[in-house]
Amino acid sequence: MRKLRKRIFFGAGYNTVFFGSGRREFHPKQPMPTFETYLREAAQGTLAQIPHPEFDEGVVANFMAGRFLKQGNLPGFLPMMVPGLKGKPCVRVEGACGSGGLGLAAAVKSLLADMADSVFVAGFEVQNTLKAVYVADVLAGAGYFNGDRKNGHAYFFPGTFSDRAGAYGERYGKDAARQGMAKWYEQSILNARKNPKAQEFHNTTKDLFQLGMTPPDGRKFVSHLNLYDCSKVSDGASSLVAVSEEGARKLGLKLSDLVELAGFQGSEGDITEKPPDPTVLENTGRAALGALEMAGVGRKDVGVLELHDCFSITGLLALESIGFAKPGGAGKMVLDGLTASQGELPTNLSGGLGGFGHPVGGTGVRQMVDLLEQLTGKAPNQVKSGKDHGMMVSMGGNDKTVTALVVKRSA
Amino acid sequence: MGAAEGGDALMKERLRSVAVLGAGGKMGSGIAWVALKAMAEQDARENGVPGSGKFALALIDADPAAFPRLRAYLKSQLLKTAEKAIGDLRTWAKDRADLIENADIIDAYVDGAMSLARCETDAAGAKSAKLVFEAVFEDLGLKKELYARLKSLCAPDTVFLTNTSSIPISILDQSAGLDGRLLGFHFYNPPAVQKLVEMISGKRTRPEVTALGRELGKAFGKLTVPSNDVAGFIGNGHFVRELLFAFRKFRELRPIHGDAEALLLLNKTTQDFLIRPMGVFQLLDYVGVDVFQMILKVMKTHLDPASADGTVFSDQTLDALLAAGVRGGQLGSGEQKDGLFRYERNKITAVLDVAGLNAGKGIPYVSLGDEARFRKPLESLGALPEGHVPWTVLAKDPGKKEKLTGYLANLAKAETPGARLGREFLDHSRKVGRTLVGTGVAAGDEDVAKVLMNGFFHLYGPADWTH
Repeated sequence: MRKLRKRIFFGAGYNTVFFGSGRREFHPKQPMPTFETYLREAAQGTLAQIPHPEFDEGVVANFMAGRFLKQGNLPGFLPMMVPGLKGKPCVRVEGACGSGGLGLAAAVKSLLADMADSVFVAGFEVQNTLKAVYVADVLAGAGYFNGDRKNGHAYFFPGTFSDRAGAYGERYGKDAARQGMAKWYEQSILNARKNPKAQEFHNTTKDLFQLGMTPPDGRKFVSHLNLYDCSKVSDGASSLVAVSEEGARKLGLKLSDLVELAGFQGSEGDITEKPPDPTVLENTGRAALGALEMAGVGRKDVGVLELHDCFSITGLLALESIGFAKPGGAGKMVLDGLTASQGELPTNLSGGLGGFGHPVGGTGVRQMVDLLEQLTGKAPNQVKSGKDHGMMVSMGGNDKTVTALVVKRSA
Repeated sequence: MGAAEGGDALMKERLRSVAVLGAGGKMGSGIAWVALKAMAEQDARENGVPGSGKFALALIDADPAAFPRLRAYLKSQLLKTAEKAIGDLRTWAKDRADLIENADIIDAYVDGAMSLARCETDAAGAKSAKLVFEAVFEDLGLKKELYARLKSLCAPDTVFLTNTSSIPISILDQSAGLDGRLLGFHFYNPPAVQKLVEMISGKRTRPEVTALGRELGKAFGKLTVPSNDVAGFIGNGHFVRELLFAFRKFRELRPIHGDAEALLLLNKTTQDFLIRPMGVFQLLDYVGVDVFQMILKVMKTHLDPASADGTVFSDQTLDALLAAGVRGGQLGSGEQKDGLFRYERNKITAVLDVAGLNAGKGIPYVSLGDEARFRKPLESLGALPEGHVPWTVLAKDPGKKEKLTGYLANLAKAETPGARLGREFLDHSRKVGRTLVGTGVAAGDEDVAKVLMNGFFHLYGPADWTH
């Protein structure tokens, strides 16, 4: 069994507001904060928690700044964010919506290789520079452009996951599937309302479940998802630090303020292939089970869960693919309240991608910041779990680039 | 053009070559957009993206200075439409291997559609058109001259659609010898948004031309309501009479409340007590005081003195306003110009002081901020009847029909001066509706209601006032 050869921790997490439609201060026709603003705010948020902020390396995770912002060479922004990174090795990682998870894994590998004792990790995306119809073009790059874009839906990824939702409804019952998705939406917004930084923090809809039950309309959007099933276009950044024990000491961080990495696993799929079974997220399952195995714990030991729910159906499929629910059973699990903040397996407590928002390349880092806050008792929507472990799954594209990490309280 | 023609196929064939005369104007540019939208869509359905060379739209206006703005308007409308209809655009362009992303397809659509349109300053540009929309100035002489020219220029089967809001079709048809190829096709302002088209067949209008008009209405996504060929038709038949009534009430109320006060409270009563999007005098500003006068003159020419209900189509106050230079109307941006009211961002901020007009010191307004002046007269209207819901709210309410029934019943019983004044307007409106139906201008109460509800955004028709 694979084991971590040394102890590794995450700490000093910070998320900016995730900005976009739904926030009261969002006005699409007025100037918006620039990406530099988000990067600086995130870095300052992290640095403020570190007595001696001296890092050996920097990692920035991002998907499509080249198109949204016409900006490449992103490693060059790390020394702007953290002056101490001038002259240090820095890298940008990209794996579509799974970029953040890859960024965390890249930092962990540097630490494991004894190349660094502390790595600053940031993730971000700024998408509101484009209208939704063009954002869809850019995000379609997370799929196989040459092979699938021409015949894909105008809203490419909603189209892709609509196909999965359609197959799921076909196999396990359309009504039950719709109810499960509606409940997932309700849960996301209820959690987001407790998180002042969430894109849906200002959401005041009375009957969220009813809204989530809105029948999909293929003529206006896609056939098996409504707009509430989808995460929105978001701007935002997150950052944290990954350290060895030596690194924690050098930076002056207390172990009680950190979470310890227990296991992690990546899994890649062939982007040119269609999923063999559209109701299964095979790479999500493989990565999550691999991370649990390395951690030496089981699903029952997970006290807080962070899933990549770019669409409500993705949340349900992830629960089943990891084995938290049996095939076809995730909807009932959610309807029964098991994934709610007071449930057995509190999931996506800051709102998830649908509630908190989904600045694509930043989401994986955001998930770790949220696990860190939950397990150190500092989360805005804090739950009291008797369990010490948390797990996150960061997914890129149509279940192609997946990284799962299991962490535990380190006190 | 035989009797076998008409219907959908003919309409689609004719949409390949279209001209719009007066395309630089407010209505003309809107009609140009409506036509271009339908043509570009048909081109895309047939050829993947528009710009196949099989469709042509001549945009004709005597003033070339209007063209840059017109082209910019058409382009921005195309872009908005293409972005919204991206699903359809992708389907139509499915065989174009070079067009992959939404952005590729939208750009190709907009550029291709713009290539359909060419701007010309002479009516000769309409030479090869199969459908000619005319939206030039509302002037009988000008129109007569234009149609005579078009008749000699265009093919003998060309169909003409005039946007006149008041001039009888038969007179134009006969004067130019169009032999039944002219149809009244009256768009409401702005044509890009308003659903209503009043469709007027003259005495000689051929049945297949009328059928073509109905198909065009469908292709444009419009609601066509047939009207008989009586000057003013249904829409202005009602609007003009109501305005004349409002001016009479103004003269009645001005000695009691003062000039500016009487204008404001009549406007407020007709907006709030009748639950309409705007009051009568604001609507006059929206239309334009000068445009209104032109319509009035046309109706006077054709309807006075034997008007069915005894209406006299002239008004002394209106004449005085025009003589003093009060105009209203809108800027190219859609912003409301000052008229009977002064506006900031389309909101009323001051009221015209009619009595002060002849002092030779420009056009005098009284600011709404002058509370001491306006509070008492407005308070004198009394409270709105029970069940009142502002138009902006009720218009979106799926249960508005029931709420309106209840409200109108309360309005009928209320004893406030505002309610009494409101009832006078509703009684008058109902009377006008009956006249329009009784004299055959409208086929029935429903058609009058359709015009007022879709062209003027009323929430109920004149016959729905049953009290």
